[in-house]
Amino acid sequence: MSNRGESMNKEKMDLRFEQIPLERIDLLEKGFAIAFPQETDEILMKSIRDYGVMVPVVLQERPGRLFRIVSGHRRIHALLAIRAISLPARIVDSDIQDKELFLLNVRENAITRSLNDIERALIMHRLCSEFGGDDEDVLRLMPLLGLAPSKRIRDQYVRLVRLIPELQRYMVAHSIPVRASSRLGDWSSEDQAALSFLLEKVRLGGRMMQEVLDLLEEISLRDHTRIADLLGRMDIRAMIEDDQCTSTQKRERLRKRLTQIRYPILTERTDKTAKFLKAAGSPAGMSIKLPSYLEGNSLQVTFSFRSVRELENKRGELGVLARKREIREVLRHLNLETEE
Amino acid sequence: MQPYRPEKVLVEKGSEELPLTKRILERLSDLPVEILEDLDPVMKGLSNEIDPFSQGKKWLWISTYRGKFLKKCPGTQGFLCCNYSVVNASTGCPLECSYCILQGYLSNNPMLRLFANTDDLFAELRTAFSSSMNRQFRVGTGELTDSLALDSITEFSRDLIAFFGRQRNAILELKTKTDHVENLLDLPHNGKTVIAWSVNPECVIRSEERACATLAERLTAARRCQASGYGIAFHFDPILFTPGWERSYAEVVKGVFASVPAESIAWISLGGLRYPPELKEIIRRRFPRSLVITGEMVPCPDNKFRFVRPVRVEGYRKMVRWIREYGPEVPVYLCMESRDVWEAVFKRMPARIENLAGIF
Repeated sequence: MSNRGESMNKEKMDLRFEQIPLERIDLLEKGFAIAFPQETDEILMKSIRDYGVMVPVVLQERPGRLFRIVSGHRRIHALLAIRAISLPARIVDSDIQDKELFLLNVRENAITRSLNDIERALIMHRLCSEFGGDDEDVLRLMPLLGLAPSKRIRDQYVRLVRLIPELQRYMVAHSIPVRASSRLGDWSSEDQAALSFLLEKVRLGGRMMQEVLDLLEEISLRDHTRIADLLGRMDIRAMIEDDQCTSTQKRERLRKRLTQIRYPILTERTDKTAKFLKAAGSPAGMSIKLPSYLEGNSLQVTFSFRSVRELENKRGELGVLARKREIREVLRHLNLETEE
Repeated sequence: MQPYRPEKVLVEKGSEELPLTKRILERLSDLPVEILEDLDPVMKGLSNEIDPFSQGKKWLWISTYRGKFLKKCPGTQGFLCCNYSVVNASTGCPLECSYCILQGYLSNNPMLRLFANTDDLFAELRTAFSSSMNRQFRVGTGELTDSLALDSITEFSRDLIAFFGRQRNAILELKTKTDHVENLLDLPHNGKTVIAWSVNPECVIRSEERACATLAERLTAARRCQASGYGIAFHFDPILFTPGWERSYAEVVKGVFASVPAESIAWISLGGLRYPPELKEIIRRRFPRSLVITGEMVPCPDNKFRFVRPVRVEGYRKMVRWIREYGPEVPVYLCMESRDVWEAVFKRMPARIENLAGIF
């Protein structure tokens, strides 16, 4: 992608526009295509039907063979879908290197529309794996893709290439930030497939996705278990597949269950303490709150009163409460003082 | 363990004639050296690396420090502090501990930095100590680095120990996870330097403390320093209260007292693993197989994550009990813990614990 290379090819790429019949184009070859997902674009079809092709596609002439699509794959397939016969095209010479043509397509896409993260990832990956680019080429290309030229950011994007297509589609459809999605590139395909199944049933946005992934990875690492096995547990599977629940309810139940598995001591202590508190039976109109995450050295009692008599009654009720065995158990579970 | 050797030395223009710089360059005469007026281009290049922190450890940056060397240990807001002072003659560390706070704290300065204007440092310490003669200073150099990790090329510990040996109201603590004590053994320390080791079970060292000395190497080094008359300290910090921790930590306590007699142990500190929220992401990225992020840790009032309180309290109580079995008189304190955890563990605050008077 050197400047010298670009200027050498500039003349060969210079203006030559023609109307080309669709039958003269190789429609099966998608070597330079970068759109993800590669699906028929209804909006584009309607636009072409109403206004025609406003920006010519780029085709490479190949002596004795069909034209090769350099740029405009989606436009050409939209034209096919609406049964058009020909289209305006800019023609480039047959001797231009594939790498230059690929970059030409990238450039055209980058300046005319917003690329999604999977597209950015695939572009960087393919530049090296298919078109002979190197690290420096990628770093130089990154600003065009709207990214800072940093190896760390490149590394994050390259991980997206390792996602199974279902997850790639989900990440694009739900605009999941790269920070959350790139870590999945280190997951095995079985684990990714299990997550994909979960996402079919329970929609997770960026923040919740991050939280669920944290829980899954941490449990998996701690318990030396596969994420696929974790998501395949009977209790979690039943939760995911419960048709009586909305997606939001499933999400909350899933998060709660994973948190219980991730924090067994905290869960057990909190449950036990809450059970003792319940058994102690806080007087009507009075609530007792445990310290959050059991951190801190006190419990909080809240009540309200409207008269001196009501306040005195509360004092009496608190005295009774203080003498209960269960209250001592609560304090003991919180490692707090239980002596008089 | 192998002594540290950078791949390249960068020297700030103007610092090349300082005695410490000359000493280091003489030791590393086979390495490429660059004299730089401006470090910005280097830092910019580093920040674009996949892991600037790992890359930064390979380069040693020698410069002049223009701020104050002596500071109060920042401790942590709302938690009990042990009145420690810190001197930062270098920042960054060649060791690779997965839980290291410096990964986040020094993320904008990932290079190993060494300040060569030691005359300024000693002048500042001399003034500070002499202007507060009623105060007993406890000074450490291990806040932003390992105190001895660079010592094989700087020999700075020799200057420091000799200096503190002449002070009346200051004690130096050199805290390390290395076994680089060769420079220390023949010095006139005058009982004013304590050499401290951060210790953990060997299984934790293997998985979380890369490029550090093994436990056996640390304890051997401690024994050598004790034989040279130094006070010795141990920091069980960070303790990883993960399932089954008791057995391995009880073994370490046993090993510590088998290596160094209780009467030579100046103090022992206990601190459960804690980290600010942003560190978790860094650990995940740099050490994806590390178990430190899988502990049962929750946010605390100072915004750091710690093991859930009952785990910490019960864990500290056990540690104190084991330590007391071998060394009933050894001062034991908690690092960066709340008042209520102190009370729950010791039944009283440090000010009312007799042998901690010299510390708190």
